[in-house]
Amino acid sequence: MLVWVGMRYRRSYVGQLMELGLQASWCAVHKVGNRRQSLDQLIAQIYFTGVEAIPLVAFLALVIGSATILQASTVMPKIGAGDYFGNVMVLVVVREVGPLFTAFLVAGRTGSALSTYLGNMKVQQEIDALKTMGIDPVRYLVFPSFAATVISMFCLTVIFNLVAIFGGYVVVKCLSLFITDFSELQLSLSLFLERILASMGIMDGVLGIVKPVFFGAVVSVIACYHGINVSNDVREVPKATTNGVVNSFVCITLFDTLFALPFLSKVGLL
Amino acid sequence: MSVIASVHNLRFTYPGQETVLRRVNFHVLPGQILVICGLSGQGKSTLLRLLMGLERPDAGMIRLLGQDISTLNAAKFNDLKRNVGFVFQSPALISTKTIFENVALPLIYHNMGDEDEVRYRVDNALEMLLIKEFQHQYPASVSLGILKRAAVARAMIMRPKLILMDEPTAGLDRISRGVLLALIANIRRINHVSMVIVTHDLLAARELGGEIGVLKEGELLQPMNFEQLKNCQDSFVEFLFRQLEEEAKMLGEKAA
Repeated sequence: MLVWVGMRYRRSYVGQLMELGLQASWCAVHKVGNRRQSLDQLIAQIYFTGVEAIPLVAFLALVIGSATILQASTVMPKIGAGDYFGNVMVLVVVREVGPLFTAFLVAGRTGSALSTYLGNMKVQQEIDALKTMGIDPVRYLVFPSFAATVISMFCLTVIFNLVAIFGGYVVVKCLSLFITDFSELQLSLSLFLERILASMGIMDGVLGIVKPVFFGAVVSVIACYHGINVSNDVREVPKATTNGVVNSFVCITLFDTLFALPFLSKVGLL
Repeated sequence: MSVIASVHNLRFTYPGQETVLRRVNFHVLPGQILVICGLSGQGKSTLLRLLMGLERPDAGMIRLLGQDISTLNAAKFNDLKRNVGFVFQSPALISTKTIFENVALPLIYHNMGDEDEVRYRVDNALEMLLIKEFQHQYPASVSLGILKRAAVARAMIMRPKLILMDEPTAGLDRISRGVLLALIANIRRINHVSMVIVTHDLLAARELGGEIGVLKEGELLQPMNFEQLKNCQDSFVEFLFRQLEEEAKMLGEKAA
């Protein structure tokens, strides 16, 4: 019975994604092939996924951070919730928007690129060529992308959070010098940081690591799965790319909700 | 003499389609060239994909270098593939790597020697196939003839005991075709490697020498040399030769 369930589950979409994820993870612990080559590929992939995405992530973080700080510092005191400024910053930026926006960005940018790249390789029989050379495509192609996306996602989320908080603070401070309506922002940087740090719990720290890592794994596995499973038809490549990105968005949102469940139970809503 | 590759009662059907290969039998001896001829859609390329484990047969047995490939796990099969080279009809070089990197790829991945050793072996292979000057170019920037030769170089770089080639001369002009056939013959002579070459080009089959097996309605006729094949009474083989004559006649008229 268990074998039957296992086999049936394995053939499903989620089962195949999990299998690919496990195979890629296994490559991290079970070393075969040339390590130098794997490292070179990993670095190249990190450069594309992580380093080249920094300006875009920083820009988005600055805009979102500024908007959040602006709203939190001007609207909240008016409704008597000024003391919760730190909580809002942690909740909105660190816990939700940071990992979520970064994951969307990585899914849109790296995920689509991965699906297209692997899809084209499949159509042009390059993946079959690797197999004929005794090269495992999962180890050679999927693993570096998987590892690089996970590492880059974590780093980009940290950058997003830092730029959103510090950059946002600087932008709003600058605005408050010129526009009188913003003069209600009286917080000094030390008080601003103090409130944010005071609102951060252990769970925020744990989720700050777990969420980006998990989202990175989800994005890379979905993108690679759709790329390497393209049939030998060039028209399938754009479809695979679209499916990969859309499914990544759906999965990220779904898992983000699941990650929120412990907090709901903490406040007695679950 | 040990058999390099043998196929016994091979049967294969693509899902939802008619059976492509019904009952295919052959064997390849060390240093032998077996050319498999047939019309398009007869399952020639499928036969090579089956030999390389890219497709799974419905029935029958494939033995490569004495091992039944259906009994091998992925790791052991990958080890076995180091002794078997494969040339695709589309050259299937990795588009993001240069010609040199493509040829060096299997050596580097399988840790076959240090950097100098890899460079020496790749340089030798590129020189042998007369494409050393293109080593730093990417596949998109060279002609099909160069790509095909690079694919042959990649297939032979691991010094395999068997090379499988799918339509090596397809899409080439007469000069490039002639050069490639001469280079293939040269590789076979120097490395004493066995080859299974699939082609629809009977003339190429004659130039390559060795035995020719004709794939007819999913079955492989007993391999024989070109002259024996020419005298074969089979209606399908006669049809192939008639086509060849017509083609030659047409080319002659064009030349005139």
